[in-house]
Amino acid sequence: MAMNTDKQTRTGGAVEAAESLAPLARYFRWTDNQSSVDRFIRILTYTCVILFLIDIVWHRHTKVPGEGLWGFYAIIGFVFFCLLVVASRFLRLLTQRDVSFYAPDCVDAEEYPESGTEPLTHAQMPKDSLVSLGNQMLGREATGKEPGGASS
Amino acid sequence: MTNLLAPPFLYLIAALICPFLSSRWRALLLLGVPVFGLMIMLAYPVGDHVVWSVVGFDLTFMRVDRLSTLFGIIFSIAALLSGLYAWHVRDTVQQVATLAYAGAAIGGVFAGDLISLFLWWEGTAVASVFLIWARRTPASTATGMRYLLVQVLSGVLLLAGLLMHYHDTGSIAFEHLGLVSPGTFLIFLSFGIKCAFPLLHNWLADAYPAATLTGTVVLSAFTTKMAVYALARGYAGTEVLIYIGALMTLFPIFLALVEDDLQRVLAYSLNSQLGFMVVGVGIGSELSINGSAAHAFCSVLYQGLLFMSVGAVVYRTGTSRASQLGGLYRTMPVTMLCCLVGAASISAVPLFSGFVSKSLILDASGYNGNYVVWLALLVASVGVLVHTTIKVPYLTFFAKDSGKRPAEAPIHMRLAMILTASLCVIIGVFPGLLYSLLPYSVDYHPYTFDHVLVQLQLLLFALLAFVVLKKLGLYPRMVQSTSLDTDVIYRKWLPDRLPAVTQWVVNLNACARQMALGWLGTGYGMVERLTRPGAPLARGWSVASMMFVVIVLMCAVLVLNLL
Repeated sequence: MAMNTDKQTRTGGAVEAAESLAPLARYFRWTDNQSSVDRFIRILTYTCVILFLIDIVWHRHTKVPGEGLWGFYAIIGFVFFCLLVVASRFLRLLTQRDVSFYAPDCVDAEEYPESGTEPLTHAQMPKDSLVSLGNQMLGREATGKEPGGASS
Repeated sequence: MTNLLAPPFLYLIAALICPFLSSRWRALLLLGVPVFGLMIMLAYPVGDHVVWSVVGFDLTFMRVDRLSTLFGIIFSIAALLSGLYAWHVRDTVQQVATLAYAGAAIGGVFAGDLISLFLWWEGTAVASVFLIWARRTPASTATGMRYLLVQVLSGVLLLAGLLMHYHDTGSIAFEHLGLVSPGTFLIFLSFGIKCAFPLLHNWLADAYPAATLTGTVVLSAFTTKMAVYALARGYAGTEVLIYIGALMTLFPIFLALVEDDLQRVLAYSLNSQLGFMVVGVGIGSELSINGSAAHAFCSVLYQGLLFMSVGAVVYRTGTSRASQLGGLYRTMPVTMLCCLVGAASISAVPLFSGFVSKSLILDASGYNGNYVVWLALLVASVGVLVHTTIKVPYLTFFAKDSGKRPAEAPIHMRLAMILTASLCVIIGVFPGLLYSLLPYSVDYHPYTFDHVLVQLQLLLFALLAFVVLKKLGLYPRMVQSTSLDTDVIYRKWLPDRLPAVTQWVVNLNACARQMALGWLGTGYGMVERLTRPGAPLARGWSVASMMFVVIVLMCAVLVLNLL
């Protein structure tokens, strides 16, 4: 990887060469930046407050008793999300086992067969396009992998 | 139009031809057959077609109406998209299995009688198991065998049910059955197994992650939706389905939440979505049946999209374990965006497909007066957000950086995902396109201010809860593990606690195998004795003897026709 500092970006304390990013991914780098994430959380919070306030001023058409209460859906969403996550923490204590629990009759304990994958890194990404796919379909170039294996 | 060009038979003929073609033509066949099949399907007018009389029964292979056509269309689209997604696959077994499986599923939804339904029902079981065995590992072989046992059991129950139903009524028509007799109860149970009713659901989460990564995408589309169709056809308005469906929406949530394998998370998520459809079928009103059909249509797309995106991750990283993934958005942004579209669709975000279909079922449930069920569906909607919408994209593409920098998915996978994602958005933005295909005429407007407001409140406050729990450190970290489901009872506990019973079953199996091999050996020996040089079959026969044999065969055919 070329260590060109001009092409490096600093986000969230991590330094990463620009070459290791797909072009489209640059629009999502903010998710690694704590201040950007905090800003996103603030916007989310304000939006939730506005949605709650709308409920107070807007009379909703209801079909179920209790549905018309202020913030009914907001409370259901918030409370049940928390309850489900907390419940899952307790459930995990009961249900979690080692991956070899069902071995050798369960795929949990085995790796996905290598022959069915193509584990290339971003740097090894082949130059493929719709044109190359069209050429493959029309038989104008090799399709790549040869027969054999789990999904090849 | 000849009968053999009817879509189910077209797929089967393609499956038979497939092994004799070159690898490129096999892959092209997987793209061409769904398109051609769809064109033929849409050319059929409403009514019964391809009716064959077999030993006195009229078997209807193409019963065309709005319900069956809707499922036929989405199955064709699913076959096409999964064919494109699996363009790189050159494994003949998988390609033949995919064609035969899709054909059997399409045959199932167009079957006009219970006998042809049974044939296609078993056809899906036999064809689909090869998508699991094609992984070619000892564990997938064992898992495939468990899957096949359950699926064949479902078929046997259907056969037993149809025989009893025929005995009771003298009819084999596949119309509304209702829970009115032991026969219809057995048929209901058979449908329930394929639809993954609670406690009959284990095969789904067990088998789907064990298939090949392209096979999982194919599996996710057909069997369960065919079962939803069968329930809608035979048991619409059966009240018990409302409660079964409500339970189905809820219990997989907990199992999905603790699961580390994302393909299994999606399998549980699929199970939960099936619950919504089953509730709609149980309510039985025009609105709810429309909702179930629409949700099945959308579910094939967004669930397939989610399986495709996780499959693309497996293709590049070799794993679908959340504990080993994270930060992949850096190098797989297209896959990430498609996954987000699937996640938004499944949690019914406005402008995505799930919103326009799930609303129908929720409203039907509310209007029906089943308030507890309505609340269960609402909680299940939050649950979907917890275990799929946030968990799958967040833990795979964001969260902690796993350090993995895989290449983006190959172009054919990206194209399949983008097309599927586009359909999810198009249906979400223009719901009229989907509504025009539904079984009953629709006067429903999902984009009212009330609908959008409450859905946004539900989803955004749930997202806020996620942020709060994350800040408090209460959101659980995934660790590499196996999570127990109820199948632990027969897979582990009973065999461990009752070794004598296990040994008895093993001995019985060995004995049955030995007996079957013995019969096979005897038969083979007899054929060998009859055909070796100088044996009766190898000798030249006189014309009179041959005439005699022909007359006996013709008499046998005559007797069979008279039965």
